[in-house]
Amino acid sequence: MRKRWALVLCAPGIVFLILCCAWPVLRIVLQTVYDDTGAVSFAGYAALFRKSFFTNSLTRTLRLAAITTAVCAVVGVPVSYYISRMSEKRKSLAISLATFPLLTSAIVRSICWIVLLGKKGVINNLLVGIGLIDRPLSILYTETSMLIGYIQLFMPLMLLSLVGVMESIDDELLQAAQTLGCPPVLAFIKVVVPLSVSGLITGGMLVFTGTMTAYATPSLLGGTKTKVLSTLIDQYANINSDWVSASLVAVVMIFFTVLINVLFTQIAGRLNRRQSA
Amino acid sequence: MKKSRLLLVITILTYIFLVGPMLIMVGTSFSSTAAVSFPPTGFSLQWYEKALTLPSFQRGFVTSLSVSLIGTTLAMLLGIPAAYALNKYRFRGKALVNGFFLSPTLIPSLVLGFALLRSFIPRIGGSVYLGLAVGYTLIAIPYIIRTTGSALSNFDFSIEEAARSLGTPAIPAFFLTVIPNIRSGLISAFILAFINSFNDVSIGVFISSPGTMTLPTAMQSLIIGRLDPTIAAASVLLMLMTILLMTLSEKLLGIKLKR
Amino acid sequence: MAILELKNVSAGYGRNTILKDFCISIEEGKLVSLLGSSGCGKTTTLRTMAGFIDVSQGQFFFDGQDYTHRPIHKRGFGYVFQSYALFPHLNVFENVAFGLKRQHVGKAEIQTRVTEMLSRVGLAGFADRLPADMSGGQRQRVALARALVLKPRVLLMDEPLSNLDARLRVEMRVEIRRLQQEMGITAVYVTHDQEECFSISDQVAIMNNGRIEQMDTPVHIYSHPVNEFTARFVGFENFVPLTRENGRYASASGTVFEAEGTAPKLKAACRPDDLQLVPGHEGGVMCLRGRIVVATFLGKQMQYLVNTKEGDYLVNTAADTLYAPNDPVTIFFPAEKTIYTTDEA
Repeated sequence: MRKRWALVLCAPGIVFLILCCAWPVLRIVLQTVYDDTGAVSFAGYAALFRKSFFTNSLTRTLRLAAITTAVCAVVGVPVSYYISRMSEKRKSLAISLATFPLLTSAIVRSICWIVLLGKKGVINNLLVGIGLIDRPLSILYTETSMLIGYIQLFMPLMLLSLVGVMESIDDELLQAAQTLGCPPVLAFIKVVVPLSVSGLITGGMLVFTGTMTAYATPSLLGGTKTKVLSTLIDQYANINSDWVSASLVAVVMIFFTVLINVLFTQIAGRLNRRQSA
Repeated sequence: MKKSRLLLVITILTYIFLVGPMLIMVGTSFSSTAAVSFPPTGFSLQWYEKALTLPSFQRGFVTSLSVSLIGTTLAMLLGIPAAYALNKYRFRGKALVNGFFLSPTLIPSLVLGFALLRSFIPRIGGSVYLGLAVGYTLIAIPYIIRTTGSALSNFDFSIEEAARSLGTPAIPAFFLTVIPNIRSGLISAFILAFINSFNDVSIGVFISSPGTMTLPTAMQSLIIGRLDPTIAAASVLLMLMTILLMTLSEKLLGIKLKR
Repeated sequence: MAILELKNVSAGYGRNTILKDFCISIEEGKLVSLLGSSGCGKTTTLRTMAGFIDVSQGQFFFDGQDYTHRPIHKRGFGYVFQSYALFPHLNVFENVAFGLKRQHVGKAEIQTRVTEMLSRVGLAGFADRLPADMSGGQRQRVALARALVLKPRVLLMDEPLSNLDARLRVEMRVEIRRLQQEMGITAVYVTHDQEECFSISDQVAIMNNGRIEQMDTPVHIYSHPVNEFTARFVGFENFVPLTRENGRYASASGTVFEAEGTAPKLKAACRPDDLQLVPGHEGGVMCLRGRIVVATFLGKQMQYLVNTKEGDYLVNTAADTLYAPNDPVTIFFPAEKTIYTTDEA
């Protein structure tokens, strides 16, 4: 009786997900491992991984994601700690201010940086205008501009993941560390950082996978020489009409997203076990 | 605790980094010249007029609005019953079903769009519009399952049983007891899922045609090659819409936008 | 010689100044308790000494050195928190070793000192436990060990026993006193529990409204409170207002009390246990006549609420002394158990 109800209620969603998500994605994956004769073959991947254009994009994607995650973590810990110590009124303002960029289209946020960093953008106009430089700087369409965009895009996720964890850390622990001889900054590193690890993992996972799969930011702030996986798929499919390569890259992207998720979940699980043991 | 100045400075700089660029863009959107500069030279609303009258933006807005509404609504129709079953009943394979409902988060939405374009849209007669709606439904389902699930985790199911014991049939009992108690959670889930879909760029990268494209996609195709304040004005309008919906869900329903 | 000294200190939280022009001086090797109800400033005093609170005026001296603005981590005082504040991510050994590591003590020495300290507080064999897996009393011992292992010259304790049950409290306070004397540490102990503080302290400072009402040995405070506030704090009740007339002190109804002094007004007071109750209405010096209002059985004793012309008074008598409500009685204030206070608190 109960089982039947549960089945009835879940069935429409399951059917929809199978038809519109699982099957189309599975087909893409399967297509990449069969060759023209219908035999299983990984020749496509072998060829893909021989192209330096692709491997460069892959390592760039992972590198940028790692740097973005690291920066968000290093900045996020002190900032979220500070937010967690604000009065209720200020705290909710700070959280709204952090949520707002999160709910603003990635495209709008990338456009902001074009306006600021472009050759004819605000910063260059200003610097040329006051005579500090002769020719506009090329900040835009580099890995630097992509990083700036990524960090702004994903910092709120890190902050929101951390604030709750920070709230549960007692200030007396910091004072205790100081009475035991730790200067304030060291006390912070020795006490607050290890106690916020669970938030860092949640936030880190969101930031890392987010950066890895973001499209608007790299396509608007990156250049042709700074392709990442997402812009590479776009190029293969929409410009080169090379659907086979696009599918291969798409599967690689899924693989790494799942891998990162599993990795972070594993670490979180191990930490939980250690803390409750 | 003595508050550290160092922390205050880092926090302020971070917020300037997060919000500052948007404020500067707001400034440039009122420029009276075509150059993007800040502080803006002069003041005019011409770029807003242009953004509002640009046919590709108008069509993009209507497309984005309708597919996001359809997608979010469909996701709620499919997700709420499932979340209810997953919270109320214990059955074998429950964890698996739950994981399956959350699985779209593991597929990057760009890839989701790609997969839909290659394997789904050809089967439904090539309708880009329908493809977009399905794509947004997929993105919203895990979100709806999670938020409805957390709203239901605070719901005492004995209230529903009380209604049943008073002679109410199952389905009316659900609408009379469960829905009113999780209503504010549902509304905020709807608004956030809608904002999310409306602002999404990735799905539209592959699912678009010259006649049917989302607003973000339309904006992106306009930027490539040139930069004038029209795009800034359009962005400001999008931001305004987000603020409006955010305050709506916060003020009207008293929902914290905390994750 | 005073090792800790607050001189005319003003301190508090933000705009809320709790201590104003506050002075206290604590001698080396003593255990001094700060006693008072919540909000009296006792914890603020302790936190000011630890450096958790900024001093806005005045000075704080440690061993003759000006420590007023010395950073917390350079003071080298041990501090035991009410919540214990053990590091939840570190096990017992790591908690206790935390401060030693900061002092760059060698690994082998850390091992021996922590092990020795843990056995000293009765926690040998608990080194690998996490704080979450320990009882309140055990955590309390870890907190003590963590502070004491650094051999501080001063140990500051903020209501360290308030989260323990009654039996454990008695056990732990003896333990704390033993460790403090063995190690010859100067200790400042904040509490709101009168019995606890009188039992272990060399000196007690009774605080009220950010001031010290009286600071002395427990025995002296117990028998000679200087004012009504401390008198009430150490169990005196039954205050009788007296006025000086013709060189003698008398109550409003005319009973003469054998008080000495020149103040125009005094109050006599006596503990309920020390008052004596006689049947019938007797006259004489230091006697108040009245009637029984309520009789309460306390187990070992009977307690009577007696209504007199001066007001209502509580008298405890032996359990076999029985009066019924409305019985006429006389309350006698024994001279050696009666104190006189001057203020009008």
